Amino acid sequence: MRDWRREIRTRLEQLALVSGDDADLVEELAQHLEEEFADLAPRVGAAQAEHQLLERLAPDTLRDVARARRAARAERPERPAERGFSLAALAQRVAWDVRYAIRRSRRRTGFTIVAVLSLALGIGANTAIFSLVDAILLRRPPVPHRERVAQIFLRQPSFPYAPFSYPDYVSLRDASRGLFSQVSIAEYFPVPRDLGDREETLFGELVNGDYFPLLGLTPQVGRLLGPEDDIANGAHAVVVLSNDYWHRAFAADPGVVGHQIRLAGRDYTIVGVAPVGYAGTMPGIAPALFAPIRMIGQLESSSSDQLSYRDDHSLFVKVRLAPGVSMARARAFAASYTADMMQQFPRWWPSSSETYVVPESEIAVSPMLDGIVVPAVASLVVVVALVLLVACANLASFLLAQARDRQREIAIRIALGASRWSLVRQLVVEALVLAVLGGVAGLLLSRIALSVLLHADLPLPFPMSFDVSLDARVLGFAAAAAGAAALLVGVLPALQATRPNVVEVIKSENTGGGPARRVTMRSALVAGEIAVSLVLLITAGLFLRSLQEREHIDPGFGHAPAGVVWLGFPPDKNTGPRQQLLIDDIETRMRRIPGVTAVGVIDNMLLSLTSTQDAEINVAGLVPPKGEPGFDVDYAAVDSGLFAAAGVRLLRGRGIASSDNPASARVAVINDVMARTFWPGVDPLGRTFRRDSTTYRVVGVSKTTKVRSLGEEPRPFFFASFAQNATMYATIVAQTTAGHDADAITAQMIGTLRDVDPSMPVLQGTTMARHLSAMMLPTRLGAMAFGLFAALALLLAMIGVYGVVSYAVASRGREVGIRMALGAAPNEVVRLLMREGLAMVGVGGVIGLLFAFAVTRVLRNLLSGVNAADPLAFVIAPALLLIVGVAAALIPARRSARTDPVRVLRTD
Amino acid sequence: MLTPELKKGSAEFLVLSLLEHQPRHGYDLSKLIASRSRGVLTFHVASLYPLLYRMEARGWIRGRWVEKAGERRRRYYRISAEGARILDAQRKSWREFVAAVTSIAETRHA
Repeated sequence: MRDWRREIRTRLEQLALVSGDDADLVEELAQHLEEEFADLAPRVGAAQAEHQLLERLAPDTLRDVARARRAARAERPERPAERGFSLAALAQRVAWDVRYAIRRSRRRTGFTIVAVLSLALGIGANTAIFSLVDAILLRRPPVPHRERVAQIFLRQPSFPYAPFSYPDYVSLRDASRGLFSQVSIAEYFPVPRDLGDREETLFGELVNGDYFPLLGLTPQVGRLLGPEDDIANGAHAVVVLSNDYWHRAFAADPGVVGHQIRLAGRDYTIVGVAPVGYAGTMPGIAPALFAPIRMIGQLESSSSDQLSYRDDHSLFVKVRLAPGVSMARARAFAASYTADMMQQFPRWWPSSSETYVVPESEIAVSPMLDGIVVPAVASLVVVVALVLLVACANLASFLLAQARDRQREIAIRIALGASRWSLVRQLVVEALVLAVLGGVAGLLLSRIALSVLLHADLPLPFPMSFDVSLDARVLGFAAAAAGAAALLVGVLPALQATRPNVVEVIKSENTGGGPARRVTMRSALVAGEIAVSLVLLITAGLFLRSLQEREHIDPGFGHAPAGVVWLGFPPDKNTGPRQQLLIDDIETRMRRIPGVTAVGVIDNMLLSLTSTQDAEINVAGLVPPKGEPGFDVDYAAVDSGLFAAAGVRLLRGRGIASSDNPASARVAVINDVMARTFWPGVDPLGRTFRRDSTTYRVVGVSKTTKVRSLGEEPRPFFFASFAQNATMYATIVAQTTAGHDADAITAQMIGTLRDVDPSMPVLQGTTMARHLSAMMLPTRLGAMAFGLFAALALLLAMIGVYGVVSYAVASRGREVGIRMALGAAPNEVVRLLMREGLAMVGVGGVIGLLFAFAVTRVLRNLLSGVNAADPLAFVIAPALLLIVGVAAALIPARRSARTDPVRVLRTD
Repeated sequence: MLTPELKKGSAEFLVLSLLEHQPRHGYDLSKLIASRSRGVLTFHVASLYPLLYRMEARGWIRGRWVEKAGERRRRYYRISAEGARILDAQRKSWREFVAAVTSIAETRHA
């Protein structure tokens, strides 16, 4: 017997009258036909009965049935009535819309996948970036009354926001009695932890007794550090673990209190664990532990004198205002404090000195970094928002096309009394279902992207750590992004689709033969996408060019592969002849490592992200800048091997020699720029300059190297003798010949240090190449991020172009058939069909170009070594766009021109 | 033979009166209409259901899927309060109409 259900369904589908819940209609009619067949067949025969019944399923009558049914449904409880308003009724209606939308999207698998994927990419990129923004800028430790906390910085010649020295902090604390409830200090320090069979380098914060009381935090376990841990130097062998390290190294064992850990050759008792959500003074750098500043001599393997150096600026000072004290009063105090210090210590407090009180609420990461971090993050946020916008424009354009195709369905429903609002709502709900799926997928994508990013092996000298765990804010953001996307995607097509002239559309039997206006709307969307993609492409191009320029910058050293190891000298060998003997021993052994050609020591590694070292010098006959006691010049202390090991070229005179020891006269090798700055036109060899009370004689001139950053202007610099300026830390550089693996050399260097003295703290081992690449990191990350997002936007825009041209091809199939039947050449047809696509590429391209000029001006500060109007970027990016755009338009157009006109004409 | 207009007008009346005392499903209704009108009125799938749905849309009848033990799920239509009012009114006007026609016819025959 015939399958009446299938018969009816097929016919309804042919009439484009099927909607998801016609199952009941089909069932009811099929039951009727089955019974009628059972009655009829015995009388007239099965074949005749079937024939009669099939005739009754004529299209016109079937259409009447379906329409009447739909009209009736509006009154049935399953389809909630549109009249009257109550929340429950609205919820019911929306629930119905959602079910309908889900059924629809299930039937259109291809479209749904593309839509969900592109939304997922857009929402995912936004959520990932927002998670970072959240981690860096929004998440705040649970500090009570944060508005009463401020950080204090010094203005120094070389740093606008310099941290404090310990003596300056002591002066501040003593002078401010009564004004602040607490004055806390924190200093970052690397320390080796002995794990028995191996060592790991931990990053910690050295803090004073006011540190935790100021923050007002509650420990998870045990206690935090307090004034009782800040009494006598070297007497407080206790640490507090960070939440992160407690989880990582102790599996969050609550019994950890009382345990010992061995740091820099000494046992420390764990007294507690810091609370969840507190990750140290600066966001992004996560200390593993907190230790009393009084232990600096033990943990940094130096004499405790370190706390007496007024020029060692490494303490971050925080204050909590005492009750009744205003920020303005704190600022007034800072001014008087500065005046006092300038009077008492003119050598360290030049007349240009200032002290800044910066409320915590005005600090994003740190005043030192906010000038770079905030614009960088802001531009990333804008970029990902643009990517999402492109994704939305794309989907909106697809839905517009669909809306055109659904005009008949919509017109019938309007004719049957559906309100415009209910139709708009339903179309928006359809977009919302897509957006929710896209949002969930995007959230997953963002988690994956973040975990890849955070586990990437970045060449940074300190551990980066961001708490990017999901919180209500991130979830809320993803939801808001999805909601915004749904509105962007759904509303425009919905308004468009529900506006047509009802009668006209129903009359026209050809589905969706609407006016050309809607094509224009779609084209405008796609042109907008192209404009945005071009802006991103050009920006990415500029970053790539900047990266390329930077890669071509010659740092002036480190060309040959080399191992680089940072070490601290053991307390009993960190000064005088014993230190010298140790260094000689280390260097002799390292020179024996196969492949090593030169070994040298430097106390302030060039191009280090974490430290700089400068001195005030005076030159006879030259007047220092106004208000300064001398000229500010960077320097490093090196031994005789360093020039060869690091590849610093000598231009004149000699380098530092092993004979330049504490007993001999102080010498310096100055760089070319210093020679030309202080002794222009004369031979600098044999000239002298003064640093404090010490006179240095210039014995050589070296080629100028980069000192602080790759992008810097050539900077005066001098090398002094390590033996004459010994420090407790040093970096050892061992150069190797090409063909030797620098990583292997580094490992052997660390092995050598272990052999010489197992207690010697090794802070970090790396290669010269990795060390230098840390300097490229910001540009490289920028190029990567912009490149990735630009590629994403371009891909989406091209899907858009492809979609518009394909749609034009599909809806003009008849026209193309006629043209070709009348003898049009395939090429003409291709050109005709591509015209619209190419117009979009052209218009979007021009708009994008104009915007790109404006946008790249804003980004000028992030791009070094390349003109913001770089001709290469402004030529290559549009060319790329044009090529890809033409391809996206050509593919569907050619396909159409190849079709057989007879077949096309016959189908209609 | 009935004109389509007359058929349509009387069909609603017929359906309402068939549903007055018990709910029925579509095929049941079409068989009853055919047998009671002795074949003068026939409703097929294509004509019966638009009629039922329209009456449903107007709120005269209500269709519900009913599952009875041992039988398959079927859609039964029952008359609503509104439908009962309409039926009353139609009956009244029908009687008046028949009375009028009868009186005219009897007058002529008289």
